Amino acid sequence: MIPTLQPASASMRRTLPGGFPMQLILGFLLILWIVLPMAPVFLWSIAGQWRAPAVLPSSYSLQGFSALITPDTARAAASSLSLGFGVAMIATPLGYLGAVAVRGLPAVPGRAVEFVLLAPLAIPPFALVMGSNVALLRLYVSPTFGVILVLVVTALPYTAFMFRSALASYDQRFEEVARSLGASPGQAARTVRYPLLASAAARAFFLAFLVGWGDYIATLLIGGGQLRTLPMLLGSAASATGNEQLTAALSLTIIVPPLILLAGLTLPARVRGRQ
Amino acid sequence: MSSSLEFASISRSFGNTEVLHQVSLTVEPSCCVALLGASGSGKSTLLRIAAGLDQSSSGQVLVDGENVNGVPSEQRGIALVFQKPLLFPHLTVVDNVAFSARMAGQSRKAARQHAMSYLELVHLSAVAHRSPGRLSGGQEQRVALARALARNPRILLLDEPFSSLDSRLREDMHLLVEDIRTELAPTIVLVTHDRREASALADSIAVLDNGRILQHGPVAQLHYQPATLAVNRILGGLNAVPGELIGDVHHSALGRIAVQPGLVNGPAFLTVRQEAIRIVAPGDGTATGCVTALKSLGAHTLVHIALSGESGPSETLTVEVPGDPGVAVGRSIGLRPTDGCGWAVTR
Repeated sequence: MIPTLQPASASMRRTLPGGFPMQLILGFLLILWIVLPMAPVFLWSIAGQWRAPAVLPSSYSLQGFSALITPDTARAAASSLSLGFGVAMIATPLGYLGAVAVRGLPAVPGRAVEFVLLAPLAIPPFALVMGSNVALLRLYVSPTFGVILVLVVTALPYTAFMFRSALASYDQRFEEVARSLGASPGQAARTVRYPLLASAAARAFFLAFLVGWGDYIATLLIGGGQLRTLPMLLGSAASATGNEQLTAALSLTIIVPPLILLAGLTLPARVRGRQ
Repeated sequence: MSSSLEFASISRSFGNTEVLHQVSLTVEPSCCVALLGASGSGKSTLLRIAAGLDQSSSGQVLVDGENVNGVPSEQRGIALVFQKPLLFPHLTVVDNVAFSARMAGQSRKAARQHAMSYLELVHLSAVAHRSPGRLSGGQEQRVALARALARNPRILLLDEPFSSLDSRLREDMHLLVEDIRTELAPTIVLVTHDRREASALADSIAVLDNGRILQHGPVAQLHYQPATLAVNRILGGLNAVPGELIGDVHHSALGRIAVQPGLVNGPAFLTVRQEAIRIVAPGDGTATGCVTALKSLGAHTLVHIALSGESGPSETLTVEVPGDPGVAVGRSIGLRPTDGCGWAVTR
């Protein structure tokens, strides 16, 4: 006898109870969860004076931001940008190659490569840095290159994972169609595969950039003080007392470039999608 | 420009599994051959080998008599349309159709002009600047066809291109293929598991089963003169009446039916199409039987009949009649092949 299908119980429903209003409320709460911790940072960055137990600053000033306009900060920002782009530009193609290897290999060796690619996630950054620092020193690797090298290892799981997900849903037959339409393997890759994987590449690039841009531990230990980045400045400012405005302004300054990069990478794709 | 295509003893194995075994088939220029077979019969693999997307384990693919084994896919001049349209989502409709011209080094403007004439051929020039994501399933498949034709291929390979469309769209696409054949006369190899589609579109049908070509011939021949029981079954034949062949006459529960000459006397099956048997009054036919079931196919009805043998009901037979058959379950009827003769197979 064929069993009759029972109506779905509340626990089986895939949609949230409460419908659209509940989705709206949860969405709003999610935004609050992300934005709310930023509110004190923002207030501190423009606070002239803010003493406990006052809820808001008693006066406002842009002194924190104006204190940032120094050659030292500009050099640190340039170093951070170089580190972010350097890591992203190496880790993104490496992640792609790793993901292609995982896809192309039979199941068991493929999983082994996947394990190797994801292994850095399981290693605490401090342990990774301390382990590699000695080797880098013995090999006379320059601090900047050493930091990039270590951070590429840290960024690789993210970029490989991004491409792995993208390749899983990528239909290889697009390239076969392109080949039967007269495209050489190189043309098929340039005109079909890369454009179709562009959004995954952008996400991978962004994540790798963040690894380099926001790093503190590797820059401190391997850079050995020679490499001054924005997180290093932030660390110095935060460790001293009475620097709350400068620390908050520096924090916001560190947040803005990744947001601009994220917008630059994602918004054009969304506009194209709508068109 | 259309070319001939020949598969010469093509075999293909994946590990220990042989998907194609010594397949030989010739497609004349401007002809349309349908490769008909069930899923897993190897028909798509054969097409991929022809397109250069897969390599055969042995045998040759000849285009105009020239061996193209080892020639890269892009240099074969063979276009392939898959079951999924696989339109490039990052390109507009016109740029999809212009793709082959762009790959050949044409300017964007010239390639688009070339593409527009093919979009007009498939009646889709109005959607030229749309994104593929905004097309219906039928439109997508038309664009895929236009894109393949814009390549000016010597041979067009169609791998079940209409199987995901509803019946009305499929009929529209069949008309479109007829228009294309009239206008451009390409050589076409169509892979399908739908015998009606194969019959409607192709000049000849090659039946593929378990990696072997069982029979290749004109559409009517495969329906009424199948080489084997498997061909009869794949072409939708519902009747295979066992009996004995004695001097070009088949003796069975259906009576004594003259069959094709040249067969050796002995056990043989009579393959008689369900459409080629007429229900008559008991005693007027070559055999009698009792109606066991009726199945409506819409405009037609299948009548299942238990044939009366010397020792009671022996074999079952199916007859397809237009409209209401005018018989009820349990009624005794007579049966007669429409042209008075049949076709016997021994395996």
